[in-house]
Amino acid sequence: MNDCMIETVNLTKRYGEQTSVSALNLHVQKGRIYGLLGRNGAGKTTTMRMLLGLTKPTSGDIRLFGEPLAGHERALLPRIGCMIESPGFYPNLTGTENLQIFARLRGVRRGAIQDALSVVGLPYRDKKLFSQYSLGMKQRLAIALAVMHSPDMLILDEPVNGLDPIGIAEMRASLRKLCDEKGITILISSHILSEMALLADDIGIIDRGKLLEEGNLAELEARADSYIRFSVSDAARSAQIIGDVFQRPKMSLQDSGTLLVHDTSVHTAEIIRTLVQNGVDVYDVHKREDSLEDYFRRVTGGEGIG
Amino acid sequence: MVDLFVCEILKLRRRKLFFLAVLTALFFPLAFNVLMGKPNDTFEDQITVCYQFTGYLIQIPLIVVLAAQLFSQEQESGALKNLLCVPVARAALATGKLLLLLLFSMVYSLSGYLTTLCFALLRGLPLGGVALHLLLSAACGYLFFAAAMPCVLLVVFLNKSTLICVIIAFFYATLNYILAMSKPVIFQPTGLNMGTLLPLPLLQRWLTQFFSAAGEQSRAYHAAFSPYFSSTPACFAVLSAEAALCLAAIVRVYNRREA
Repeated sequence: MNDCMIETVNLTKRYGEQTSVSALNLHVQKGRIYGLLGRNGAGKTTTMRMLLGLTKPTSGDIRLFGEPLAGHERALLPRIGCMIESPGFYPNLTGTENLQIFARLRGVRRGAIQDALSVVGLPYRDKKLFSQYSLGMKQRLAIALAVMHSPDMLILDEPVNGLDPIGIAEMRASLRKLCDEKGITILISSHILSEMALLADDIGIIDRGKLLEEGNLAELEARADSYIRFSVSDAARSAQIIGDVFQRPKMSLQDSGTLLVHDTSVHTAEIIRTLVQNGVDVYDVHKREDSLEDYFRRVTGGEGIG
Repeated sequence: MVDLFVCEILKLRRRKLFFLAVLTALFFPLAFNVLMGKPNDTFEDQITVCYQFTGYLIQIPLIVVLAAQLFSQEQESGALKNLLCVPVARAALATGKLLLLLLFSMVYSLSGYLTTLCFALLRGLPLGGVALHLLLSAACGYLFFAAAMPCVLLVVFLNKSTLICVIIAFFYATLNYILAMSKPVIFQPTGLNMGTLLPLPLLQRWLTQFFSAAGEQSRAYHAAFSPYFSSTPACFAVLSAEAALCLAAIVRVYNRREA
């Protein structure tokens, strides 16, 4: 893929005998939202920590904005906004006071704090301390910190955790807006498939530290398997008949009495009629369309994700 | 670095421990004046008490406890990962915290000096050596900070709860105080011995030369001790060298902390 904002080559992280991330080849393209999808403990956070230089990879390379991360952290990291794991702020300070500290360290203008808080719907002049914030407010403040310095890229680890449904929808709209209007590339991790399906342009499926699939949402949906299963007296002969009459749809034999037709657009009643007319007994017909979730369940070895 | 230092100060908002710690600098001179004051006291008597009790037994443990809090706050709150992503170098972050501790120590010493001076004025005590003790108080601000560094290194390395840090800090201060009052330890010339290498015995060997001895017993002690007084360059050099080693080790330990 071209124009990669994040590219990893065989990125691996081991803790002793345990491999958290294994030979990961990730490609996040400019101006798109990439959803890193995986169950808890799949390696999402470790991957993101390595992308931000918080955890040193055991092996492999990371390139951000086309530059290797190693040795260029001071130049590359200021271009990224991030939220990793739980939101971490000083509990004795208000949200605004917390952001003021980071604004000073980043050399950000004062007005940016107010702008960032308005993006996430938090008040600017609020006396509530961070320790008194609800989980949802903490998440919002973390997003505000991530966007405060107008980064070129956002790396967000499960940012909708703790938000109520309205908050999730607002967050989704805000991220979409940042991507569409400001061209910010976003890498977002989640274990909630439905959330990713609504937000992400591209999706990577990670399981047990391995990237199993990577592609845009339409591609992955196309890979989801849909078929009509025919239980018949002679599956091989049925395949021959259907192939001759119905312009050879994609088919597979499960056993001598079961045929799968991988094209759900064919007319089922016509197939049944044709088979019966040709002396094949039809015992059962079952139409199955895999949802995206079924597909992910299959890809991850049956355990599913969200 | 300036921004980091300013941020360390900003982080102290609503941290009651820090402000209570500064208040003890005012409280102990008050307590000594009210509870232990004698009619024939002088300003120098009072300030000597301030150095030896408040400085040795309160100021050093407070520096250690505050250091434990400062060095653990980012890890406990989870803010360290946000700082590292700015990116802020851990060494710079640790240096900012150590500068804040130095500032605290200076403010503490000078607050003690000012409070003692105020009480001396209120009680109409003889004011001898006001300028000298202003300089000594400022110097003690730095030297007490340096003297606390070995224990700061220990608590940063152990990274344990505040209660354990308080116990370690007071044990360190008390042990050093006992050694600083022990004749076999401090009645030694400058060299490779406990009286030179341990922070408070060395401070005691340096500070005592500036105290005026009142009474026959004190004068005899002062005269016997005087051959072992440490010179100012030796005291500053040894404590600064020990502190520098500890500071380097503290930064190294902090660098290894998981964000």
